[in-house]
Amino acid sequence: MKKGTTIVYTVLFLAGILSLSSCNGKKKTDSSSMPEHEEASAHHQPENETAEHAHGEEMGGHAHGEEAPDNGGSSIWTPSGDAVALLASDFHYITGATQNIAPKMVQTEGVSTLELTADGTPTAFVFHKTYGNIGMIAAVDPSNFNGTLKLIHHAKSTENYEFVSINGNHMKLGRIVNGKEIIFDEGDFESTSGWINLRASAAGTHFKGYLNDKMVTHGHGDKMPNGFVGIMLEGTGKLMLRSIEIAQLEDE
Amino acid sequence: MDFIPDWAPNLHPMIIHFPIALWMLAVLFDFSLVFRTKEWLRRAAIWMYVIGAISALAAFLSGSQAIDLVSVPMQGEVTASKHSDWAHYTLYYLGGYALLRLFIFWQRLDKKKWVLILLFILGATGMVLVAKTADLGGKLVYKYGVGTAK
Repeated sequence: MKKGTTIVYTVLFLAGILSLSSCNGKKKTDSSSMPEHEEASAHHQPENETAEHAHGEEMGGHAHGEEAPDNGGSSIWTPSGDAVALLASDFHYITGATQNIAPKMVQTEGVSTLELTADGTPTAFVFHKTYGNIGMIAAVDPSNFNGTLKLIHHAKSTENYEFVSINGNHMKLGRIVNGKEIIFDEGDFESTSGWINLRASAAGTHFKGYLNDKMVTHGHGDKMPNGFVGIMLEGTGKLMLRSIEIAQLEDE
Repeated sequence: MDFIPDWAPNLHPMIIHFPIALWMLAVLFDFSLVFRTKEWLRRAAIWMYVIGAISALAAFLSGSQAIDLVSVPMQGEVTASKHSDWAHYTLYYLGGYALLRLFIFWQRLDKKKWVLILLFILGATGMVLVAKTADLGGKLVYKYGVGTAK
């Protein structure tokens, strides 16, 4: 009887191991087709999204950037056409106004660039869509800007949003909650002039700030409700903006 | 003396296999104990659990350092976050369970069959947590290329 019990338990144990292994194998087969599916969806989504922004295109006559698809793909917004009409159609302000940043379209190194001249009034413009888990990269040149440049996300208003900010060579990562600033992490980065890629990511309860693919700040906090994403300027001078890449991060 | 070879981005990949292998071995010893109550098996299991928990701590600390050093593509950020979260849960569980086993070993409470079966189930639960953490870590490397040369 004792031997029988041993055999039964051993068989159950081995069966468990084998079923776990075969489950893993099945999952591997299913997931191997996913990247293609995601790529196909990423290509399809912008066409759907473009239809929502037909009005903006008519107004500005510009090549209008699509908003991030919902399946974890990313999309890149690039400026072209009339700067004022572009901002009016693709963004809305949660503080400040167009006259506070005097937008102008220029060509830098053969690339259409949005030149913003801030007058010191805090100004934040955000895309129309709200996002949860998000990654965003802004290609900017803040060489002639004096003040704080913020990538903001989960924004409801100027009283509630999350941010990655740079001022000089200092980066802060945090959030504003009911008007009160909470800093998760801050740090200095190597001084750089010219074009930089400023990146913010919010994945669950983990928040990070990168400069040119190098992580500078990493903090943790509760997940905030979905909100708008965009850029906030608190300072004076010229900020050049070439693109904003947004990736709606898929949940596991 | 440099312990990290040139091809390794950091220490984390060198350490992570220890808790996986040690905890699995410990669970196997526990499984054997259900059928054969041998003193050497009992001691071997406790050693494996304790060293497994310590190596899990080393893996956790090296991972905390590593995630700040590597470049994670945007689409991999959620996986990186989940991997970190599961690593926390696994560390707390393995550490707590190792302490529990030490206490049980010291008090010789593991004489009854039902206690041995319960301990095996609890140890196997730890294995599930390790597997989930490892799965997410593997996804970071093989799906998103984190820590690999491109």
